[in-house]
Amino acid sequence: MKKKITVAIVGNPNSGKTSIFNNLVGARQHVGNWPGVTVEKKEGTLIYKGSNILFVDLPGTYSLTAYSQEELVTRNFIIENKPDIVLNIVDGTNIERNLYLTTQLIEMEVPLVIAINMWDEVLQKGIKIDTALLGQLLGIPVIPTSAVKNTGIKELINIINDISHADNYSLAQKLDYQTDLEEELDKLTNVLGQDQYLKDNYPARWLAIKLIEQDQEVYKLVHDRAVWIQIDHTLDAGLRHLNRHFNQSPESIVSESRYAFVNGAIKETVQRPSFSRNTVTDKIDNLLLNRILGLPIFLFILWLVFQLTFSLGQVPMAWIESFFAFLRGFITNIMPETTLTSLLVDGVIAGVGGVLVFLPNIILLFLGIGFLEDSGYMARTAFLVDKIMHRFGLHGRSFIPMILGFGCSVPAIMCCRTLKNRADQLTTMLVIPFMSCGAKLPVYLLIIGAFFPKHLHGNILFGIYIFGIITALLAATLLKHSLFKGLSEPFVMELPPYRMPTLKNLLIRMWEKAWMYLKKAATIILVFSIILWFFSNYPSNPRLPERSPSQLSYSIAGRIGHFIEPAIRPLGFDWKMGIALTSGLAAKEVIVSTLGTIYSMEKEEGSPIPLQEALQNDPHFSPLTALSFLIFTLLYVPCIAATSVFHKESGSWQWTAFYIFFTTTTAYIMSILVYQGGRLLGF
Amino acid sequence: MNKQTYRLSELEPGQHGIIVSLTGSGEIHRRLLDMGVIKGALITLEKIAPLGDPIDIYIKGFHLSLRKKEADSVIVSICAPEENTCKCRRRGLGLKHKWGRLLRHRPAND
Repeated sequence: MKKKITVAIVGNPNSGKTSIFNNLVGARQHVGNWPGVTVEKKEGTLIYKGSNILFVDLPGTYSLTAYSQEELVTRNFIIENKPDIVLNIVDGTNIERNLYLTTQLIEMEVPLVIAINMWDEVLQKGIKIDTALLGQLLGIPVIPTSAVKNTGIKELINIINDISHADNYSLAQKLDYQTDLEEELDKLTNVLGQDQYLKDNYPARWLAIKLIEQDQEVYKLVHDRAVWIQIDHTLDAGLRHLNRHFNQSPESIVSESRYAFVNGAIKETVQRPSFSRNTVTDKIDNLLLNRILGLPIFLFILWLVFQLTFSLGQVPMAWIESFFAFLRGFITNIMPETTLTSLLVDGVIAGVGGVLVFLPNIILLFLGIGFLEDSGYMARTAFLVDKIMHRFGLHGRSFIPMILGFGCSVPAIMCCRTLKNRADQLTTMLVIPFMSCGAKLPVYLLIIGAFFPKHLHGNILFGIYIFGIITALLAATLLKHSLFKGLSEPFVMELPPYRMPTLKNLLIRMWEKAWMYLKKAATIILVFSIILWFFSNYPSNPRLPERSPSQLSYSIAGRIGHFIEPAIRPLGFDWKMGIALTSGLAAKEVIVSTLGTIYSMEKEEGSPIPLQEALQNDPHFSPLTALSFLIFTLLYVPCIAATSVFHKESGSWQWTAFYIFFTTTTAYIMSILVYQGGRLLGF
Repeated sequence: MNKQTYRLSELEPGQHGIIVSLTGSGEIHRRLLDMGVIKGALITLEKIAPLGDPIDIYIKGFHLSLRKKEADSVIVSICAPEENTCKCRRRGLGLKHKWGRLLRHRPAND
């Protein structure tokens, strides 16, 4: 019977933690969500000798405060779930700041193993780290590893296996902080020891340190206990004592103590060559973060990524298109003309096929973004554009997701994960729909082509995109000043050294995203395609001629169109446009095909008229109506795919409902303004 | 000794100094502390972003970027090149100074 053990992996972002995790478990990993929060949970297993090891890759953090969901998830997992071992990944080339997190892990009094990662870079830079001595000083095993070169991993697994089978494993040495701080910590520890529940479930010293740091979560935990009165008294006196003595905030006293310890340990065990400050990273940044060239180069790189995505994606896209065309033809030929055939061809294949055809593009896009992220360049992009983003209530990191929105909202919303702060993430996700996605383009081309003179076409199209951008920025500003007032995150961001991403990590990450996209297509989009097909075809009245406008009015879709007509008349729309816009809920391109169906049904006899002409002939459809229609299409609620991804990323029904409400209301208001304003002006 | 204090946001690229105090509070204060922006730490202002904000500083062996608003709460004492007792020179960090001279390690009593 194999022994089951749980190992939590903790470390700074950019420490190569995920690479180590990938090396340990390979593809045997599972991505989910921590319950109740929108933090990704990654687990994987490794079977080794006598152990069945479950590795839990916790989010990368610099510290374990109560200020972010990721930190809380990490520390709660360690304190409450009590994993058998905590594996701390430390970046050997950045050891001073990385060990700061280590001191906090030691404070939590858990069985700890340290992996000094990026050992290949450590050697290459000429840094000498005496891992044995460091292990002695700390009282825990310290193993040099290199995820890239795949060294040290075996030793790591062996140590973990040995420890898990050992009977008594001694924890790390207690870290001695500054004298006055230690005094107060001792007093608090004594008082805390009087509460049996606290004593049994939490390390007293850790609680004491957190209380001094004025940690909100620990306050809440201790506040309800009977012993709180004594604690409060001791804590209050202690904080005043510390303030008098050090004349600075209690958190800074604790942080300084931790860094003082780290410094002491490093002095004994680490020798750095007199630093050549002009590293390769510095040289590259002199160009990429250049005052004059930085932004243009960034725009060029973005353009390059999009170009590659679309040109390389063409080939597989064509395959998928022809596959579905073949499938369509096959089914139509093989099966008699029944309802089922129509369901399969017009409903399922049209709907799901329409979405799947974009899969190669999505995959390539994620590869490109993943490359930028893993190489370290993504942080630079946020650095370059933050000033403008911040002016509009967004974050430097919001830029790339918003640009992606020009292609498709789905990857754009998924990319918002890089925004750690919930307010920033939600704001960005909420305004991404206003960045006109690729699926809306056919609608614009059709309508503009039908109602505006040729020389205006380019300008109007460009104008729509700009209008979308402006709306997005204004909406973000509005949200920041109302719903999300004062909630944005401070911009304190590491610019990691440039590193070459490993293919393995890129592929694993890309596979995750592609799989998610496929799952969405297979489930939600399939269901909605069927529903929409049903709505458009039923009920059908056998006495009415098939494929006629009266037949369309009879169906559910038609009835919905008529039902909402009073509401959309102020926008200049009639029931036909109502149906078209409703069909756009499935996917935006569908608006064009729905309009095609409606207007072709109109002409009951004679040869079919091209759609543009049919639109022009409609007395109800004027250029002003067209403009209003364009604006509504630009702004209203995105397709079901984007909405379901929003729901997944936001983790909340309320926010998803708000998303639908917010976008549709904005579209409604803007369209009314345009249409009624135009009428007033005499158009 | 030239011991004027400045806010971190007021530094120019190439200037280096020692953190004297932190005036912030709450989450920003804590985030800065966690990243090593503590009293006594050596920092160098590396770059300013093309649009004027944020700034890139070198501290504890890595690059950290922050907005000038956050940098306002960090008070720094700048090291002047003439100072023989400048800690940076004693630590032999070979920092490039804003006047272009590469500071090499010299014993303190030189």
